[in-house]
Amino acid sequence: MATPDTFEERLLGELKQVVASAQPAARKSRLVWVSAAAVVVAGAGISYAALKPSPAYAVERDPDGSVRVSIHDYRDPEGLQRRLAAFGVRAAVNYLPAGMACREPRADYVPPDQMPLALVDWSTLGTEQHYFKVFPQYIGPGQTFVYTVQVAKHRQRSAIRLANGPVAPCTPVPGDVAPNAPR
Amino acid sequence: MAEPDIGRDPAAFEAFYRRHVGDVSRFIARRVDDPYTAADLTADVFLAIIDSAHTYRPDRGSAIAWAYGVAHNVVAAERRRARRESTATGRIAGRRLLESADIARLEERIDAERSARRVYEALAGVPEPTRQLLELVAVDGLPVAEAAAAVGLSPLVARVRLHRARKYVRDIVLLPSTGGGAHGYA
Repeated sequence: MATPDTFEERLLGELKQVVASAQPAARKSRLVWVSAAAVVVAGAGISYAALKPSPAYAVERDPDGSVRVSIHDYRDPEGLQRRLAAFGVRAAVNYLPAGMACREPRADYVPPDQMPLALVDWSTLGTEQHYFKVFPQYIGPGQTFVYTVQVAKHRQRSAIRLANGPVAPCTPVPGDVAPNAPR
Repeated sequence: MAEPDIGRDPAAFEAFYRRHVGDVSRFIARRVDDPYTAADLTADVFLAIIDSAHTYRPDRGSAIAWAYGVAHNVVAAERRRARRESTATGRIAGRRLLESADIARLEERIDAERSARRVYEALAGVPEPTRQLLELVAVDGLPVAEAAAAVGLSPLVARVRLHRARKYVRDIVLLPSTGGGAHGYA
């Protein structure tokens, strides 16, 4: 059938990764590696309440190649993280209560002034559908998309960073996920 | 029977993929005429196969009939999305994996299936669920019993539905452009 360098073979390679990541054992043991830069965005207001049992999030690929993330309810960050991985976005996702943040530093972050501004398009958050778009081409090899949200009833503070190399698990401590961003 | 493991076991998945990727690609080429969309849909279909591997019942028809059933749903969802001018595709953007040699090859495949694609387009007016059944038989050349299993019907019910749809079928096989790819239902 297909010779090594064809669309079918490349697709097979990606699909096998999806299958492998569906295995619970592989999921647990997978190390999270982080890469590059950080842009901090505050006050990304996503409606908080989910009135009925429904998916906590949706992830889709848009025709422009970006990955569209719609968060309906701030639960199951691990699930969102796995879903993002299936879309080729290596991510570390943490939701924290108001007033709490992960103990830092837990990764070698890309400095804020070196973050690629086009990594995330937040402009759609204000629309009815409340989604943001991640452009994976700005996540370098070995980098991880670090998404941390402080969840408050009507106002979230979200931070997106890029980490180089591994990202340590989040140890919640009192603090602000986006200390340098306007409140 | 490796199929039940294809959503979990990469080796089982690879075997399934290698066995069926040609048929699935041609299934798509009978429905879309753009190599980029075809590449995206190929990725989407196999992702859907991974996600729904647990629904495969080896006793209810062949693997390819089941895969065609999954593919039908993916293509139908894509059509709905296109109609809504909404945007999402799948978790893997198949077109990202295309190189120029692949595009030429996909275009050839799409060209080879053009007569079947005309049959597919001609079936647009047939209401579901008969349409899917008709597609699998008239466009994809599945035996009626396998097509019936793919859409969850008994062969008897499927034959009744196809009989009722015979007017469409007759019109379609009389289309002057209908040729080799259409496998002839009548």
